Amino acid sequence: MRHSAVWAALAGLAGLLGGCSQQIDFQGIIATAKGKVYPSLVFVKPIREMFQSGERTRAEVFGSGVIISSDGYVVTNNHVAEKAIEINCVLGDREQVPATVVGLDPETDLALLKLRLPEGHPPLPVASFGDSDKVQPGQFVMALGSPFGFTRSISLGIISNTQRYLGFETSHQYNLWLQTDAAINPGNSGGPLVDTRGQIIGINTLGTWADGIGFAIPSNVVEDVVARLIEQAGKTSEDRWPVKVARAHVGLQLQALRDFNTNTFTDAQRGVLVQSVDQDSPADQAGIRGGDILLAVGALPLDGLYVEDLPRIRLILADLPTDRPCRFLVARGKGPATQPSQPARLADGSAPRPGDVGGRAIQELTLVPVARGKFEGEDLDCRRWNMTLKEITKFSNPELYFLQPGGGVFIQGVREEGNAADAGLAPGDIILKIGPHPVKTIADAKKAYEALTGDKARTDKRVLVTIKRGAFQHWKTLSWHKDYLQED
Amino acid sequence: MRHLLIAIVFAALTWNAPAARTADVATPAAASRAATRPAPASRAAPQTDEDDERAVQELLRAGRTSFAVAQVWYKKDMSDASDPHERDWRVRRIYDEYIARRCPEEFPALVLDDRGRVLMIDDGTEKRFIDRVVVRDATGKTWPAVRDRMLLRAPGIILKLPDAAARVLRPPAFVPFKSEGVRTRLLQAYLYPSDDQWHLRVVPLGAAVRFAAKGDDNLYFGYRGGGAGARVDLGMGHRLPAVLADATGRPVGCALTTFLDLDQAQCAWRYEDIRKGESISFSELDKLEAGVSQRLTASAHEVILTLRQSSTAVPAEPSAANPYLRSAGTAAGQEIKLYGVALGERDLLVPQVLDRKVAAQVDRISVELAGQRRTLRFVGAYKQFGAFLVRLEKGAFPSHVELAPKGQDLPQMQPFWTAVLGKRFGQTHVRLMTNRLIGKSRGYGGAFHDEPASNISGSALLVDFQGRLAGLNLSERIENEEERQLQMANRYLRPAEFRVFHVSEVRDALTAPARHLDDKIQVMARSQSKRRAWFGVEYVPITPDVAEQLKVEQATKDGKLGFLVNAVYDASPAGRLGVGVGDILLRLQVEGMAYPIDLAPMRGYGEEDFGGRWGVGMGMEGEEGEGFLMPTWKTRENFLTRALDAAGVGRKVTITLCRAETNQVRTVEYAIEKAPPDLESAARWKNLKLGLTVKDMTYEVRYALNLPRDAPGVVLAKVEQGSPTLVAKVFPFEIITRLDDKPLTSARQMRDRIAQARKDGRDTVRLTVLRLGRTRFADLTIEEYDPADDEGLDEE
Repeated sequence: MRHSAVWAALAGLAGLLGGCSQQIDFQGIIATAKGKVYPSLVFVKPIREMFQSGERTRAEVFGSGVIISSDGYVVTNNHVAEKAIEINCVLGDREQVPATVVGLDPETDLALLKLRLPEGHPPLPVASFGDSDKVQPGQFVMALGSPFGFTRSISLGIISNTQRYLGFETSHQYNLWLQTDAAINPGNSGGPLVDTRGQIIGINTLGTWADGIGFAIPSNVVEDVVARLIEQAGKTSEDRWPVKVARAHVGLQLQALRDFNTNTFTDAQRGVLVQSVDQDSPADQAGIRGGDILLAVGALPLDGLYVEDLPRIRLILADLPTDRPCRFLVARGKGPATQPSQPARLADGSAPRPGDVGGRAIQELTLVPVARGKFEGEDLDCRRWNMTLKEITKFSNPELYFLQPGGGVFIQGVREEGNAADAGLAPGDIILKIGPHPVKTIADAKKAYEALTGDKARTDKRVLVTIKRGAFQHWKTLSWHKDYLQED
Repeated sequence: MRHLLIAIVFAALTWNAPAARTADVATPAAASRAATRPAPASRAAPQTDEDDERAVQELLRAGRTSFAVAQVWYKKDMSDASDPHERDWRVRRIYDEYIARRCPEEFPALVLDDRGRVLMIDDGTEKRFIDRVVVRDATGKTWPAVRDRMLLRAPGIILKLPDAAARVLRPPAFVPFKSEGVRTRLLQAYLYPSDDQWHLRVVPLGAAVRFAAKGDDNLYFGYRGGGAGARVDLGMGHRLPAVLADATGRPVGCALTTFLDLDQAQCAWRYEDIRKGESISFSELDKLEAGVSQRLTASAHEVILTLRQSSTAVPAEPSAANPYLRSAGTAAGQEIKLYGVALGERDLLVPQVLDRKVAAQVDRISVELAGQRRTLRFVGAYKQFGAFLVRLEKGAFPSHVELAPKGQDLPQMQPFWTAVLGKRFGQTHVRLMTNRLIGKSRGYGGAFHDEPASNISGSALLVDFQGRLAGLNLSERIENEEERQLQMANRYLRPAEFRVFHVSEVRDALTAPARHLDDKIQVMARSQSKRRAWFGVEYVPITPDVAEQLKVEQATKDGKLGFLVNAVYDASPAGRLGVGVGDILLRLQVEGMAYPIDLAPMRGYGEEDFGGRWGVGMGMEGEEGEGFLMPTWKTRENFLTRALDAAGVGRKVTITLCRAETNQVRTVEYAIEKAPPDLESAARWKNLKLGLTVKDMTYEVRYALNLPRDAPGVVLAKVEQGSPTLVAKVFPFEIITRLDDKPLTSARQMRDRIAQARKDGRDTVRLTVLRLGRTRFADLTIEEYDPADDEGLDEE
């Protein structure tokens, strides 16, 4: 229905164009473009281990990918490839090839796979990246992939917006999105968004419940992440794959100077507003405070007038060399300010003056970025207890990290019918102790779990779990006499 | 019938035996001694079985012409709304059983003399419901009857029948009664209903004496007073009046209560006493009633308690007769209208329970006098009974009631009016019903008090026939009513009961109230009213499983008792006394209280999961609900704070607790302290134009948010839909730490700075908003700010 409508519209469009002096073969353009990418389209079939609803489950899931090198690098989404214990890919010629996960970047939701081609396999067809910065709203695009496992599907649409900022709290901090009305459904994830020249301009990543609203990661971001992953993988032995993208951590939350979402407008034309500074972070130690305006790091200007500017600035900060001092140009309204002897000249040739920042005094602060820790913590399936635990990290669970500074272990999921649910344990609870064993790391939890459930001689299958719920401690008796997962 | 006779003869035989044993005791004075020691087994002038049978036969024969049935036909009272939810069960019964079914209520009646005078029980029915009375004899013949007189010494009324009836109906052939002390034997003949028909029955009555070392020697027969047994309106009324006969079956009197004593100290039953007894005609009574009603109406006034709005509902506690006065939660923001009676020129007594929590929410007390609302001052609520006193600030009440003179308490049996003050057709209306005190029952503290013949509505006044206040039917408060209510909410105690207070009991309290008032019940300023007492802990109730795991089964009685402490607040008594997370509070002993309060989970309250949890509202972008937070702190209203509040600040308490790891039970003692303000009592500022309510930061919020004691900030307690605050995407339960980058320390300061910014001509202020440990900035548009809309600033 949807597709027929699109085709009807296109037929009309073609007819209209046909009336022009110079006739455009729209169908031909589409066919050519498709032809350039279609052979390198991959149907990705990972067998994944998931920790959902308090259980570890293994399932074959469907995703899409695209071959970007003739020796078998495939780009897909992190959420397709993560936690895969095995991946099979079906290529354009319907050949099934196993793949290895080379690298994962949960923060951009990208993953790089390497096909394990048999010896002497001919080179693979390769799709090339376009320049996503040049993509224009309204331009025709195709989404290629395997929605709902329907392999080798193509949907057509236009770019609805090239600068979409989605405002995720923790993930997706480093990119804007291409918004398209080409149909993107589950299974399209990881597939290419292709322009009429047959170049990849994005990787389809997010669908929505609404018709005609889908989002793709711009190809320039993809190319950058892929390059980093390939570089990192080259330096790492294969047995330590998947590699990650190295990023710097400074501990800053940023807010645009003109925030239309909250109608908050800061009286400055340059720089970006520091929304908050994580406690004990490098920024905190450097003396940066909430309310400061960051103007530049080194000579790189950090102008964040609108929310759409924020990912680029975050990327600049994430790319800072770690463990080496960086000079930040900071504007601040109050407090003792050391005016630089002469205005710093930035890479764009400008030199910010107090007049650009609402009369605030400009000063330099030195900050030493540190390597960003892992974004997402380890999981642990406490199968017999019908719950899954996860490590708290300050990046993916800032609110739990705030409650339990230094981190710990929290309950990620609780099976609806299960021992943990019976005990009154709930997702979001921070585990402090299991029986007499204090739990600070996922390894502690694992040790306690295995010691208790592995002890076959134990007749009393109950343990007191001490948790923190909000700021308050609670005690729950967890019993595992009943085995909820046992078959009849 | 034959069956019955056999039963009666058998009863007579069994009745003979105890009488025989006490036969040598000649005087009533010896009766109590006789009752407590074995008597010699001798017999004096034995009565034979034949004698007994003859006596019964004689009574049954005579009863056929001397008993009749009075049929009272009721009518719908057109001045009554006949509300199906009518709370007066007597009215409801009349409607349901008789008016709706179009049948009369039937009472046994006894022919008193040969002039057509018939005696029936006085059940206190208001005359407005009585359509007509008809008397029917054993043959089914009926005569119209007129309610003629009311007896003053016994609960009976006399009906007058036409002369024709007098020719048919015969009174029992009464003979004078001769008391034989403990050897007195009485037979009782009465009509009783069974299978919807009347039966005539004869039973022997055994003598009894009150069981006590120095008991009275007043021998009695039947069921001595005591609660419902003495009341004439609870079924027993349908068996009275009864003919009393001596052992030979000769009628000697008639009974109008189930209890008769030989001295007639508490009832009148000898024939002559009834026939010639003091009485008042109904027409005379009507005249008296009209006068009394007028005076009472002039002295009765509707008192209006205006309660403050409350953002948090106090959980309703079980109510006695007064559902709304004990549930401040539902009454918040309402006007409660209650009737009171003027006791003097300025004092008005409101015969209703006013509990501590409701009193604390009272904003204003007023009364309408001559079309004007006048303010009343709260004098106090009584310690001993459920009533409170208010005083007119200016002017005087037009009329007031007189108290019955000293030494003139209402005697048993004598009729009086109960007056229920209320409103009818927009006017003050006093509903008067006759009633009598019959028998005694045991109440709080084991004290005996008089029982009314018919149930009296709560808060009714008892007025004598001279129109003077002779008593009040009030709920009895115990020494520490608050504690009782607390226990009641928790477990097994019954609510306070209403009972009759004679004016002699309350005279001092009414005339010189100061010493009798409960100083815990106070009308006070909003911020004060919400302040709590504290120990300074949060807790979760222990469960049997957890008790077992912690190995504290003994101390916690298998996990049924105990609050596991899961937070201890800074600078609290608990903190000072070394109470820590993981301690289990077991019991609370309030100084001077008979029993400790068990610290156990309250029925129906899942205290465990109130607050204290992160949570972000679900919802799609741009929709209502997005970004909303659940409060992460707990409400300070919990069983422990309620218990301490009930005990009162300054009172010494001992808390028994046990430490989970060591299982050691210990006690800590402290004098109850008032807690620092919590979020409910914190100073607040509300401005509807800006759409926000902010409150001073309080200790429990700091605790839940890991904020140091000196961290600045105010709590956003409420945000109005569509307001500038919500447009700035600032949500309830977030903390505003700074305004224009300067720390905010109080709600008032925030208001002052916004007012100043507006004065300076600014359109926005910048807020620093704290949420989940991170801050952000939000510009609040203050263009619409108008100081005239400020609320909450004057509540200190």
